[in-house]
Amino acid sequence: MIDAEREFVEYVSARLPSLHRTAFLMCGDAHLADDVVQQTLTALYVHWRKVSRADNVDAYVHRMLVHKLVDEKRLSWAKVRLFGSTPEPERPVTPHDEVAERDSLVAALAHLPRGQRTVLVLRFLCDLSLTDTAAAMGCSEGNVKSQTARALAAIRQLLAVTEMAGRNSR
Amino acid sequence: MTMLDDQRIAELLHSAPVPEPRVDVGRAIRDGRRRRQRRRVGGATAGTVLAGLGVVGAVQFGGVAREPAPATPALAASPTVSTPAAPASSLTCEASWLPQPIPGPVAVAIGVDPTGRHIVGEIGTGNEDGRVVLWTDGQATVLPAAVRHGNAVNADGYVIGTNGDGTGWVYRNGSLRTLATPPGYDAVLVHAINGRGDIAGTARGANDSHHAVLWSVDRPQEYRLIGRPGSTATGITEDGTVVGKMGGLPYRWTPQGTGKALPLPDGSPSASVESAHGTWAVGMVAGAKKGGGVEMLPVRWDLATGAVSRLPFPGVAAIASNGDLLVGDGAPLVVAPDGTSRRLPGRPDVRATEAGTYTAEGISDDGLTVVGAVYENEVHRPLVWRCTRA
Repeated sequence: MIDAEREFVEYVSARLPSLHRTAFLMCGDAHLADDVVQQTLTALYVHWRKVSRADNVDAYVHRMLVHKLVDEKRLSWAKVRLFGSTPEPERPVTPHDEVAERDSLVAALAHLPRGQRTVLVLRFLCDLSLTDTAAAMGCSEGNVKSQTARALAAIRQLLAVTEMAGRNSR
Repeated sequence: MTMLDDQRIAELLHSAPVPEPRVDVGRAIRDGRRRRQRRRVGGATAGTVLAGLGVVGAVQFGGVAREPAPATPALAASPTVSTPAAPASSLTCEASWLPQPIPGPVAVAIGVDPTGRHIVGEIGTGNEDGRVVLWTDGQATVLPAAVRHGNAVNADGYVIGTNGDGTGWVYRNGSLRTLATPPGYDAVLVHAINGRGDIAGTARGANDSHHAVLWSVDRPQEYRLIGRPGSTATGITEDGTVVGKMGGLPYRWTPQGTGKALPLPDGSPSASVESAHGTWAVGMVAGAKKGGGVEMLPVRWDLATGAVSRLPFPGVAAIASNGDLLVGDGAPLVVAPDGTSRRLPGRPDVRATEAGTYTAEGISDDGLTVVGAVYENEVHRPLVWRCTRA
């Protein structure tokens, strides 16, 4: 029992920063990210014995995280954004450099529909496979593929706008 | 067109600036354990490796056990190794139950005042419905239902805490008052109170803004901001010294508000202070990177000399003003500044023997009163240890 709890603590200790980063990049709200990670850890603790025996613990935990996030957002903007179109960037332009690109990535993510945002984070930040991403999001692999393609296209466009504006301002 | 291949977007996602997590692993375990009790999943959940961090909100990644920290010579005890009987064996300690004025399977003592007379705790189902309870000289009082999450009590019996909606409160003798939330912030976290009635906490607002705040029990609707925006306050000593964090560094402020960073142990990039009593403060420092995360390890500051030392325990629950450290993990242990230690005894009527059956969260100034709880048969019961010098 002690061992299971120690294992839990060790796992969570190692993964907390990346879980929080994942949650924050998915929702863009620091407080919500804290709440969702907190809830996920509580649920993870309750189910730890089962989860720790899963083939891919990280994928399982990400699935919990996504579900919690959807729960949180179900009644607010999730539905609207999920089916909405990608708006044009409203952000003021910043000089293009490494830091600005990183900052603008967060801003650009904010303009993506939730599904696209989630696939980008799960696939490229969390390094989940197509299958695991689909499982975490509760959709088909085909859906993940098409969401990924659209998300990448949108992000390229959003960042390119920032970059060009940055060049012009130099 | 920006070159944005898969590799590049992965790099950007990994390096994008994100706020610091404010997640409490200790709380997740406590909540999870309570939820598990209700679900009765797979038998008893005995082992706690959790130190008693009662406060909410700040980055509390420290209240749980990890591998023991590098041992320092002065404190060679490890919580997992039984320690020899200390020379301080002239002390006799006894564990007693605290009375429960209302029913509830989750009844715990959270803090004790410096004199050991007043004990604050909580009784509920573990389902975010706990009532705050104050035990004074063994007599229990249930605080009004309007207050939640009691955090500390001072020698005069003033109890402080923070409701779930981020409202700070102070209670004494039937009188409940709200603490002002400074303009521009949505919520406060009230952490500590001293014998002068100074209350220390942190105001929080949108976009992760925060600022250390000081209130007084006499004028709870007035406040004073401490340090610069971005500061936090987590503890206050009897003389009014406030401890907290600013600009990633552990910090202390004089009662007049003059701030100074506390030292970091060699090789640590950052640290947070959790509480302070007398001339001592305890907190956590970032240790080695481990599997993508950062290990947090307990440290102690001597505020008189400014010295910082790492502690060879997975976590520390509290420090008394005489320097006695309370290690709440496993079987509660009190470690004196000279390195001698004493295990707190169990109750004869408690059958459970697993480490974690007992948890300890608060210690009085003389180190002789310790409060905590027993977890057995899916029920938490509040407990006080009282030690006397033979």
